[in-house]
Amino acid sequence: MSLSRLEKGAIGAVCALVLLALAMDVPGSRPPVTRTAYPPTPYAEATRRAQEEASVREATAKAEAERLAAVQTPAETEDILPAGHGRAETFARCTACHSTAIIRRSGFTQDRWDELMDWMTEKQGMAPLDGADRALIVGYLAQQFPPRRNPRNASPFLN
Amino acid sequence: MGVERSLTELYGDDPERADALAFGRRGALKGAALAAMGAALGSTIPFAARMPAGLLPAALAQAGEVPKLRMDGKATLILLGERPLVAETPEAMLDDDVTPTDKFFIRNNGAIPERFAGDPKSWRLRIDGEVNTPLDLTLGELQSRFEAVTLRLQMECGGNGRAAFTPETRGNQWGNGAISNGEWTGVRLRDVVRAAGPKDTARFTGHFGADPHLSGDTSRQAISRGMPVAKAMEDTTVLAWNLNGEPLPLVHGFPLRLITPGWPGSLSQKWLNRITLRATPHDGPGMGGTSYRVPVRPIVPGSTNDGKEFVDIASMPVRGLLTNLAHGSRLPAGTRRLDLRGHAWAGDLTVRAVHVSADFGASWTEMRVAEAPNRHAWQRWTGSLELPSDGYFELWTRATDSQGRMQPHQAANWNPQGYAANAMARTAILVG
Repeated sequence: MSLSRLEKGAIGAVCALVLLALAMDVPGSRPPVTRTAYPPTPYAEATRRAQEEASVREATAKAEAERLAAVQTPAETEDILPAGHGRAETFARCTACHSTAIIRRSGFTQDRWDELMDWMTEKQGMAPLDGADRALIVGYLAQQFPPRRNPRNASPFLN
Repeated sequence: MGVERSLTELYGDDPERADALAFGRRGALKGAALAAMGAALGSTIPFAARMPAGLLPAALAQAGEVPKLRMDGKATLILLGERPLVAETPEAMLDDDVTPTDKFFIRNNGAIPERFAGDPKSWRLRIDGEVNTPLDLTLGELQSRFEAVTLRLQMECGGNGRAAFTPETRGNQWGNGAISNGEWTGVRLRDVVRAAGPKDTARFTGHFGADPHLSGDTSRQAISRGMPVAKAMEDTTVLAWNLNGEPLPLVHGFPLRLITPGWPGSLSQKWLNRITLRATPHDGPGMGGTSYRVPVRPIVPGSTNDGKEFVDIASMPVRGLLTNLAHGSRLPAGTRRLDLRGHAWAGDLTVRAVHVSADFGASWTEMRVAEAPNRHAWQRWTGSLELPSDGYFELWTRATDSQGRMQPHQAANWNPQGYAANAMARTAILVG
């Protein structure tokens, strides 16, 4: 059986279209193939994991810092200190740096409290405390937090 | 408990009068006062005749509520202060051979820094100053370049025992619980210093950490202390990243800290990021004056002193603890034999003996003392003691170091900031 030139031409055109369609990947030209995505490169995978770990670490650090801030910031108000002249000033000044626990567990004479103000300035970076404020605060501390040990143990060499 | 309150309050308000009431002229508890004190304690005091005058019974001394630490990952320690965060371990919580991480005491001079959020292995440590090759190492490099060691090492606050000073001194009023004996993993500081090639002029160290100053002033360091290079070169001085097999908790210095066992804990810098070698003693906050320094020529207790003639504390003094009976324990009537145990340590030295007395020091019973598993670990002591009757007893624990020095009854060598007090521990118990 032989084909006419026309038939040959028609078959050729159809084949060309099919090839073109295949080449262009026109949808519907062949059954759909589900292709899995290329697996990420080891480098991309490592980067993703590092980013994930970093954000977890950051979030953990933030949460931990908040919990620790709560522990380090007692809900103290002025009335945690005994009532007395100068309490408000003492509370405001001292709690700028530290909680009142160390005050409440201390007991000194007026001279020792006074020296402590200079020590905190010289050694701990406290802004100098002078004049009326100093007298008020030292006076309050000496009044409310005097030495509490047995006076029998007081030194005969001290006034 | 009306009697207890009144006696305790009496001591709190007017110790001299309380003492006069309670103690006779010859120093022994007498008649009605003895009965009153016994009633206050809820028991008789079998060895009252030997009770020194002026000594408030240990059970009464602890009147009042003790604030407790409430914090994730930590046991309920005694809270000494929130800012800076300071917490002490009750003595009876120190019974383990290796101190569990949650039972470690906490001492800060500044604020706790936020956790280093980078890869912990990328934390950097600089070694500089009097060295031929300054080093800038990551924690990862530290771990891969040097031999790792795991050691049990005591770490004790320089102010441990401070509350025993009379008159009281500045600072946190520690009992005896500012001590720990963890299992630390790290590299020897010695190996790292050698890698930097120390010059002949490298005589002292200076340590730096990442904790911010309490005032928030970022130009100030919270604390920065240093030591003679000989201590830095000891084979138990380590740069540690693990405590008890786990990365350091943040509050204990994550990710890297120095451990300088046997010397004041302030030399075990947390959040460590730099060690500098110096020709002269370091001059950071916590150095000089009366800081971590004690008199050579004893001074009048309570007197003023600028500390110029003092010396830096090196090795901490000998101390022992009873750890299997808590202060204030109540034991069944008829208990006559006490099985006791605890730990003892002596800074750079070792402990030769531990004795316990139940009669205010009139007689002493020797305990057995085990060897330390490695240098600078504390030593376990065990033994037993016979009691003559029911009643109130104080167990006094006294350790003796390898040079024969014993713990004194009272804190010695008073100094303005209250360091190196090692008065013997007193544990009050009640039988029946």
